[in-house]
Amino acid sequence: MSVEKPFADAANPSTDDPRIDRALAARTRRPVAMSPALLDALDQDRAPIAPTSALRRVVVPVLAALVAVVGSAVLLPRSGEMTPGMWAQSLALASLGALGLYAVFARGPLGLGLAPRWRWGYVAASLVLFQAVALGTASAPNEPQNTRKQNGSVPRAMEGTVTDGVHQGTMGATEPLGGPGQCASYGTIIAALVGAMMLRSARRTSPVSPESTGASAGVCAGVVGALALHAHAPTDAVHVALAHGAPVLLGAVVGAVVGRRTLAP
Amino acid sequence: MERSLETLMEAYCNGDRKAFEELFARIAPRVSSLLLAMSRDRALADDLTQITFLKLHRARDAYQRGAPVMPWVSAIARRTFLDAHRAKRRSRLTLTNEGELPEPPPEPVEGDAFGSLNDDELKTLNATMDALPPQQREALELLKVQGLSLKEAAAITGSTVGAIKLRAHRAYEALRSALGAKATVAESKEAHPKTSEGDA
Repeated sequence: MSVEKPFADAANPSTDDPRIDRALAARTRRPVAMSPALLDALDQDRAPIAPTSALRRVVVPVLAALVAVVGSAVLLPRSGEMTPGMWAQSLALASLGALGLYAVFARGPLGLGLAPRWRWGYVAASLVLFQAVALGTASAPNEPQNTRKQNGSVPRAMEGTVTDGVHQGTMGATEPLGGPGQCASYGTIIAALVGAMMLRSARRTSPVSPESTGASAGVCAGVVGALALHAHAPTDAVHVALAHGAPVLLGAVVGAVVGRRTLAP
Repeated sequence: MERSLETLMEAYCNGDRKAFEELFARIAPRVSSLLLAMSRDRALADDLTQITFLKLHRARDAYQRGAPVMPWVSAIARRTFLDAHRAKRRSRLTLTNEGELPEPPPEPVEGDAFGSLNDDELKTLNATMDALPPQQREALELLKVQGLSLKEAAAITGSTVGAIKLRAHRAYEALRSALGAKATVAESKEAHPKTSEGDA
């Protein structure tokens, strides 16, 4: 305990007043007795605890994510081949997932994990970056639609991306899963499974901000869900933004709520 | 030789009950003080201290061995207070069996007289401490009472080092000026006893 010089690294240590310091330190002099409930808890559970590294906690959720993504890539029907652009987008999503694992499981030198502002930053950045990935998911436009837009006021750079996406995404015209609803449901189920495993592994490890940890876990699981869907070669931007993005957004909200209840010690 | 808190925590994680008892004896007063500073209610602070240690016991597998104990325990205590505070805000007021409003929470007990402050000054200090904004009081408590570093206090509160430094500085200045004003009044009374009495 360094009561003598707690402001040693402060900008203005000259503000210390020894009289105030001693009086404040004296506030901790009151002895406290253990309650019967605490004594009972100690009697009932005194088993030694094996040290658990953050790496060990990560193993199960990572395996679950891998199984989900690889399984989906193999089992889901495809609407087309994966282009180099789509591989790049998959890599971007995988990176977001890896960052999410770090945000949830990194403990830091104090054992308290990342500061909440970094976790919330991850959540916000993921939501924005996911939309960027979605906008980048532009397929070659269908001929009739392309012809239709030549006479309209849509900028040429936007042709075949957002506007086609609105049409295809809302109609579900090229969806091998049968429509945006099915995509969103499938991604949400994957995200729920992976998220549950993440939250289970991270249980009682977040005394500072369980909400931000839960939201990070939810977003990370949602990104895994979106990645699993991405492998089936989606064809338009709005479909990816809405149907594939639903698990990410839901993950953030549900993760924050569930995290608050389950992650705090 | 006294074992460090980290050594005690590790021994406790390995199933040594004596280590927990020693750990409790050493840090429970500090946790209680932190919770008292946050809640300003002695009875509630005592209850929350017990809950904090129950949580610590249940979550001991989440403790990162070798990491400083106080920031971790302080973070659990802070979380416990926030949860209780939220629950209290949600709960409805319960009447006693006689249909009357319950007794208001007791005033915090004054700190033990210690150091070179007299009883009067100590009362002023405690009153000023209680009147501080919660965030300033918390920063001062973590730095000056718990003896944590700026980094540790920032990690516990989820804030930045700069913000903690500023809050603690403002709180400290408030205490200093309160004590200074007290001293000035006392000095002027000593210098002009008749004038003061005449005014009264």
